Amino acid sequence: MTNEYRQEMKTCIEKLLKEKPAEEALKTAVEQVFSKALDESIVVGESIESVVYEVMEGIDESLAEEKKKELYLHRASELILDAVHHKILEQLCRDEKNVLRAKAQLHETLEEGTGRLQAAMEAFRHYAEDKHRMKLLEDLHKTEQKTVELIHHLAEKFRYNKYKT
Amino acid sequence: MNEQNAYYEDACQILEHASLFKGVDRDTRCSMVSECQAVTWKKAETLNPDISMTYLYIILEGKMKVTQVDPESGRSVSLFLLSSGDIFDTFTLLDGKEHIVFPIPMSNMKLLRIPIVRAREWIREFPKFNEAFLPYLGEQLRQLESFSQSLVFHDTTTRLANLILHHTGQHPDEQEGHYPVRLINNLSHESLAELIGSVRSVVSTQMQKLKEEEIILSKRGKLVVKDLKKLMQRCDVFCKGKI
Repeated sequence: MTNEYRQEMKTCIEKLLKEKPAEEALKTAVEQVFSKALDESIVVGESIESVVYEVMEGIDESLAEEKKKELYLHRASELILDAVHHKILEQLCRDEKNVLRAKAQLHETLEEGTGRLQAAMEAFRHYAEDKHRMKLLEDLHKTEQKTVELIHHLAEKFRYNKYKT
Repeated sequence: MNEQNAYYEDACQILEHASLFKGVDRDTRCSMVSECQAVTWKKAETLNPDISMTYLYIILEGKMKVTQVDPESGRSVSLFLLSSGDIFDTFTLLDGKEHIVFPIPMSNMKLLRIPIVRAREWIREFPKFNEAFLPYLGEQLRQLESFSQSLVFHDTTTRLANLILHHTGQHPDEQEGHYPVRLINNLSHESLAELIGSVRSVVSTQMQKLKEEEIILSKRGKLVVKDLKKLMQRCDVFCKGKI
């Protein structure tokens, strides 16, 4: 559907102009129509260029009678940029939250994994003691060393700080 | 849908020009339309991935993309861009098996829907519809063949040039001599990337190059072709060089 945003913006501003001064009408219309258009364009993969162009055309046409039209068009461009900026911020905040959540998960998995290796080590000790496996008990220091090496390997490969942005 | 429905006459007329109904006489076409239900989809509306299991949809107005998404990486690829006269979903119509895809309406859409079982009967019941259906199917298969061939044989520049060329109209604008681009003229670089199996950053670079070489330009916020000959050369040169 071509020019849908142009028409929507035009209709919206013309309606608002009956109740509000031009600047206010413009602000409300950008908030209502452009923000919706921006959301939709992200979902359907429409270029921001075509959406902005259409919306500007709608504003231009609806303010045909206004003496300060050029001024309002400039104001509209600022409002549109603010809306785009706001949307990017929202998206970045969401992404940042996901990154933090993933970092915390990584840390948790690392701690949990280290705990499992240590628990396995403890189990060998208990087993050797319970069952009087003296050779196994003697060799435990080697197993202990291996456990430390494996824990160190995990920490090196996936240490929490490595993923700091 | 009965003859009094506001859609009825429009639908009969729109489908007259659809390749799927080529050769189907008006009476048959209108009787097929009367069996359908009219539906609308809003732009960006979320549709169920299994929406095509029970109904076949015939597009009257608007456009949609049919996307596959990799749940692991979140990367997506758009396999079909469908518009007026196209049907969704050819796969389930043919084999009745589950076909999970993500259909995304890219504009407000008007469609007809018919139970898929009845749509299959149409193919047997109306020989002219059957005759038109096979070439339509062939076109879709060719499209998929071309896409997979392009992925293997061509680099991103050629794939992008081919995509634009495929959607470029043959007749230039009378005033400025630019060639209009249909369906993909208002898509974001990310969306274009989905259509050629690439990523946004690569497409952005290539689009910039095509602009610098004055092959394409943005007119009223939409993509048009400035130099069709150069665009064709770009496709030819690269294709011959790579195959």
